[in-house]
Amino acid sequence: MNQRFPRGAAAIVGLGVTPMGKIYGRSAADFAGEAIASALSDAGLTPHDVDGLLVNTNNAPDMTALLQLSLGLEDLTIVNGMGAYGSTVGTMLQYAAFAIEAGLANTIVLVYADAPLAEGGRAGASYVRPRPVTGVDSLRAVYGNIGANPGYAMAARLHMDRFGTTSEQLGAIAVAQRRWATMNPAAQMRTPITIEDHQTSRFIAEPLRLLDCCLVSNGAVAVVVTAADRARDLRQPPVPILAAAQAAPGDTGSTDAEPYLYTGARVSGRAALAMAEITLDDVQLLELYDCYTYTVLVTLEDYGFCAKGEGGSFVQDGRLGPGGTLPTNTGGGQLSGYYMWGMTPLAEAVIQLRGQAGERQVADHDVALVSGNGGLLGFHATIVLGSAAAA
Amino acid sequence: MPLPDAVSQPFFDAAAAGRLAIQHCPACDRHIAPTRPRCPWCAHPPEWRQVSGAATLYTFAVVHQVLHPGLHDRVPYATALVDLAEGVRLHAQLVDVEASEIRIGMPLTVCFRTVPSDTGPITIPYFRPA
Repeated sequence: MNQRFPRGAAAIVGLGVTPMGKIYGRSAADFAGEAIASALSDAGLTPHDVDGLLVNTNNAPDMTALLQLSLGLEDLTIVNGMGAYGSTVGTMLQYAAFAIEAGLANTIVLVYADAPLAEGGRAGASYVRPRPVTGVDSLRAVYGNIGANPGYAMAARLHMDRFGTTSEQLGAIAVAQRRWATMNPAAQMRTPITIEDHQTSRFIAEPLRLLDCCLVSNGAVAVVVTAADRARDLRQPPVPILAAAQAAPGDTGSTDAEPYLYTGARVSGRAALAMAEITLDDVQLLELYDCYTYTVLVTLEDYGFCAKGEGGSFVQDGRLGPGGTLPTNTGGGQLSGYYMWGMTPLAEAVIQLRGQAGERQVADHDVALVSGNGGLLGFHATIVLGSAAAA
Repeated sequence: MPLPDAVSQPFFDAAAAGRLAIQHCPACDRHIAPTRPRCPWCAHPPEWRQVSGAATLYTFAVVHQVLHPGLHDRVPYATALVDLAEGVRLHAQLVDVEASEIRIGMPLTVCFRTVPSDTGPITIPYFRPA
């Protein structure tokens, strides 16, 4: 399949990130309003300029197209609540780029917001929201397989059994990302950790430990997308969108397939590199969806940075961390930064590509590969972004 | 709690009689799991077939987190995915085995236990070492 993309036609021109974490008493829509105002101000634009709104639907009931009305935006020609779970941000960028290029809208706002944490509750418990299901699927809850943790734990266990991956190797990912987070003022977790800290953190679902699992956050992130030629006249260095591809391999329940080991990253990654007209060697920054350490490991394999099964030995020397050869999740990611689904890796990519990452700035910052991962490794998206110089 | 519905009723009826039944597509000659209204490959309406109950353990996880108030007294417990001999993968739970003895690839066989539901006790499949 030859997927085409309007490479460089659209660019990210504004970014708004609210304070993150245990901030109580505000709704997701409230956080969204703040992030959008911040993103527009960042771009030097106003609500009057906005004619497109894409909302990442999630567990928050107010994250739908109705957000337009609570924000009071007028005269939109693109508006939608989009939902492909953790891969949604990639799909929103894909849609926005094509819409801008076709002249369907001029200034499109993309937003993710959530407020699952309530005062007095525990973070992990707040994020388990059993969906009402019937039929044979209802037995999953009876078997104790509720939420995402058991499924991802089973995926990691399978990888360890098949390929010899170790818990310490997963820990290397957590440790590297925490090192980046210590240099990120916006990160929720800024205390360094060691492999021993990882190994002594409590089991959530074996083999996954607390430090293998992402944070839970109240907050919002928004970006503003416009045409590239207009982007050059706005306040910030533009971040051109060079590629956005999606892949959802599915899970028919057949024993022929192994979707826990071979994810959609194989397909969306290859498509995105072709759209952007680059190879893996051109990638200088990796911002990977990291709901779990395992997600990072399997994505690295499926993108082709190493062979299938070799992810553990690939990461164990700490190359993903500061000073390493493959800077990954340079703001701490969802493991140590904050958990805003696909906006977590996207926001950090924008900051790095603009050269605004301060103490954690990666020296070579012209091409970033950004992944999205949703469901149980089933919904994937890959975005390629560039610096203003790469447009 | 198990919630049978119209599409899956034959599954629960078979379980009540101590049998494991899985959908099968007569056009593709393939088994289908979990329950679907149509064959995922050719959209033909599936039929139900009794299967052998033989399986191998595909993967598992030992859950320590209390994911539901009803599970408070059961942690830690093992939840699993099992590969039926007929070529489909099912969510499952293992019984009659210590967590420390569970091995990926171990041969399993279906057994049945009764659990509570909104409509009274309901029989569902579990898997034990073969």
